[in-house]
Amino acid sequence: MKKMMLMGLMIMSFSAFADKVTVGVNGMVCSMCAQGITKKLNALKVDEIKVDLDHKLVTFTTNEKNPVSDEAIKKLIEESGYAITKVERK
Amino acid sequence: MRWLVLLFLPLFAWAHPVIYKDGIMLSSMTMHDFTELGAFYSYTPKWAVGAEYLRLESPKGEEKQLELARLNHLAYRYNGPGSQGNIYLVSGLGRAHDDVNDNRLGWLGGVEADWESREYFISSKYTQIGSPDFDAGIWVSRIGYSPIIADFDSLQSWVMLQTWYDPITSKETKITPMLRFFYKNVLWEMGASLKGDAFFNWMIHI
Repeated sequence: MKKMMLMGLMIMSFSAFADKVTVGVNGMVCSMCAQGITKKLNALKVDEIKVDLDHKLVTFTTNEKNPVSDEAIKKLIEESGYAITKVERK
Repeated sequence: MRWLVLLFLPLFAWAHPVIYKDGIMLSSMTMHDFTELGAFYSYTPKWAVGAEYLRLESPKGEEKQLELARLNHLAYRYNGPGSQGNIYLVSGLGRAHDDVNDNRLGWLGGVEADWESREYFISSKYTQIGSPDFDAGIWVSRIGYSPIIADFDSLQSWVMLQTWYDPITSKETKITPMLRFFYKNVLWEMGASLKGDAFFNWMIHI
């Protein structure tokens, strides 16, 4: 019972630090050119990276070990050659 | 044999001359009378350095070749909700040689512009190459259409039409319908001019 409670606390603790981040990106029309975004996000060791060209969105999940600030996201998108329109966290 | 070598060397193809920061681009363009080989490193999202080899062959079989250090600049970019447009300035300096003259100064300068959405593509570039023994302007334009709007991780396919004029390889404009495909970080193109000359490109982003 104690083990289960401990495990539950650990999961809750992890969830508290894990953000699902949605980034709006203008100019993202070519999938080959946008590989730079996924390459840079992989380097940050975030999880569940997805690029949605239809809606011009990049989503990923941060974790306790790799929190990513809005400033870092903006820099990453601009270094990839695109313009950021929004950053949302859930 | 020469064709085999050309197909597998990292030549320089039509591509954005500057990519994302710290990105490396290897690419190729191969025709029977023109070869372009190159490798570029984008040290910022607006500047790239690299090396390039160019070979142009006249209808009489006379070859002109250049080996150049290159500097490319993204002068302007439009990032819209459904499209992107770019203007690039390109330059190069190095060695030029032909069947008669060896170790001459070679140079290159040019401007490129493109606009693309997920469905349409249009581009044009003018490149002036030269040495004390020759100079030539190369004008290449393209229009393209993607009949299938594919997801990010799916194979992308395009139908394109290229016009190419340079006064060394031909006095006439070459018109080449082609197919372009790309998957993740690899692009390849193939086609044949209206006169039947084969055209092959490939490019990798690392």
